[in-house]
Amino acid sequence: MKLETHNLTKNYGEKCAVDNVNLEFEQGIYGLLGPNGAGKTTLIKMIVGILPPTKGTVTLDDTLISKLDEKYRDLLGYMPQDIGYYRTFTAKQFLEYIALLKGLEPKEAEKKIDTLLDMVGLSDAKGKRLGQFSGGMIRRVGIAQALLNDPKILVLDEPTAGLDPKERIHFRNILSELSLDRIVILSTHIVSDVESIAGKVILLRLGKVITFDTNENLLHSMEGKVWDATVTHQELDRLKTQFTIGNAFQKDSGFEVRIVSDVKPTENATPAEPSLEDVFIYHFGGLDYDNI
Amino acid sequence: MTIFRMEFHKIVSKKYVWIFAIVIATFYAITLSGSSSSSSRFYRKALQPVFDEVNAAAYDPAISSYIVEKQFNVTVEEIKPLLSPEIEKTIESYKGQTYQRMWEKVKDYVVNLVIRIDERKATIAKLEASPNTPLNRYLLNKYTNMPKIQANMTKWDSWIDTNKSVLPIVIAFVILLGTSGVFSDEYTSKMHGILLTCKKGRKEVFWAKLSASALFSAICALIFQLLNAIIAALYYGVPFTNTPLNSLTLFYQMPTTLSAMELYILEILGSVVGAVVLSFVTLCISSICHSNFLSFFISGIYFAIGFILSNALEANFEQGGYISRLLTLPGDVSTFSLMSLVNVLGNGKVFATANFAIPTVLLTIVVQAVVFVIAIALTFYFYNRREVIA
Repeated sequence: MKLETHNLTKNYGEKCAVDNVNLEFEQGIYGLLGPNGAGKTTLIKMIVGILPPTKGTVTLDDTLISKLDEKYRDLLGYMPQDIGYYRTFTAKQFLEYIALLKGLEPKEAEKKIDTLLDMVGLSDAKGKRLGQFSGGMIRRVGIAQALLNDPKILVLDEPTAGLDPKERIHFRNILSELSLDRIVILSTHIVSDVESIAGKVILLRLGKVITFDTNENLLHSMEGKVWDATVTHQELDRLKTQFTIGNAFQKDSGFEVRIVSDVKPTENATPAEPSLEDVFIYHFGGLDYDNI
Repeated sequence: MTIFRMEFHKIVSKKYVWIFAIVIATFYAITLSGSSSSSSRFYRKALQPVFDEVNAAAYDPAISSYIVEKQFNVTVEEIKPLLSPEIEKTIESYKGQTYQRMWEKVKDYVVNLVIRIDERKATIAKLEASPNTPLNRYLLNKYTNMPKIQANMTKWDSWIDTNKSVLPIVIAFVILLGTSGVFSDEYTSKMHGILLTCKKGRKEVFWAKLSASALFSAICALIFQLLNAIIAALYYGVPFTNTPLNSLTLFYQMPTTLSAMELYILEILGSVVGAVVLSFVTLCISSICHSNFLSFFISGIYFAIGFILSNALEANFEQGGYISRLLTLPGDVSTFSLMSLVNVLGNGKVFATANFAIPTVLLTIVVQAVVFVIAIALTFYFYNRREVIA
């Protein structure tokens, strides 16, 4: 199964939200990373077929998804960033309704709903109205509804926003298990969500794909560009103006900082093991997104 | 559980729809009760046993020619000896003031009927002498084939009149409340994205929403029609017999061959069909609007335009009764007119050009059928093609 985007473009007036994106997805987890406003959600919506592109196409095994229509949606599980729900429905009623829309048989649906509610830790709250749920609980319902039809293509837009650290780890583990025989596209601006589970990472900036590679290759590309150093307060201020600073911890000896730079930033800097966060900072760190 | 049942549940589970419906129904019942006259109900009921005798008197050549000779200006004493003894026997049982008023009523019924018969003859004679145009041919055909006019002693006037404007407005209001959020609520609750990515979230949901809205609208129309019938029966009484429409004060000059019962049944049918059309137009607007209120407001304007055109413009024409003009046609073919039918069907409205004359109600049906189909097509397009913007 191969899902592809071909020159995918979306314009809103004069603003180009997604610009000529060409991607290829096969079995595995794909992390779609980018800061807010990078075009992740727009790209996701075009991939799931709810936003018509200005230009370009999305194909599954060389067939346009618009032609596959119901067949494509039968393979699809989608959790939107801004998840919708009916306030008066209970969690169980809501999942029953979605199961119906996904074409599940009632008996099959009942089993699946119980399993998924258990998986997302909402078994005890299944009879509670969604209007009474917290943001984190709603996201967990959102995850459950996306998985109802055992989708071969799972698209999740900012799925961990609002989840506590324990829930996020649990969610990552679920995704890892699910990725064995399906395409999972995970859009997020939280690097740690994809760092440990994504096989491939797409970095999106201003609607353009700036990198699409395996996790390993991305980390490899950062070798020699990540530095640790202990600096004084004055030196830190100077470094901030010249380099991209990842982390800065205050210690007795001064500030322990992580610097992302093509050149050695300071005399006492030592090369460090790169992480995906460093890749993110390297590409997006210096940009002022408020002005985009 | 089916998608249809879920969609129907979404519509009927809105508490405010039922609260408004109950308030409106109560208001409607009070309004209707205030418009009924107890004395006219009494005389109609009391004289029902001599209905045939009153009709026979008006059609009696001796009596009718006497009334015409006197230029329709006769007294009870003059006409009393000419009437059937059965009438006297019935009225004898009433004493005092009622006795005299009842004779006055009988006299009025007979004289009125003679006037109408005479007017009908005059109209036919005038049409026969008029140029042979499609409109005149159409009218002549209608007037000559009309059933025999009867004395207006039934309650059909009141029953039919309830469907003229207030009832369609009440029904429309509840339908707009119930269906204006069918699609816009999905946008507001942000469910649109999830629905459109589900296997059955497009066509099946679309048809389920349409069917659920149609069922809701039809039920609404029927419930209010039933309520109206109960209230009308309580306040006006049940019409004791079917009667030609031209026997009723509201319609006696109109070129219609229908009976009152036929019109009333067609009114109910028109009310249901019109309600469904209105709900589909509302769905179409709802599929464009991101707000339930906006959808309600625009749909309300759509209905109100039909109502205003159908009523306000009509009053400006002398002949107003049964001729559809280019200016009144938009009102005549509106969804309101289909829901009411009193104006276009009861009045036997006709639209004529130099080459043809057709009953306006046919145009109403054709236009509303087109509106119905266009509304479905546009709703499908807007629901499926709407950009889901976060």
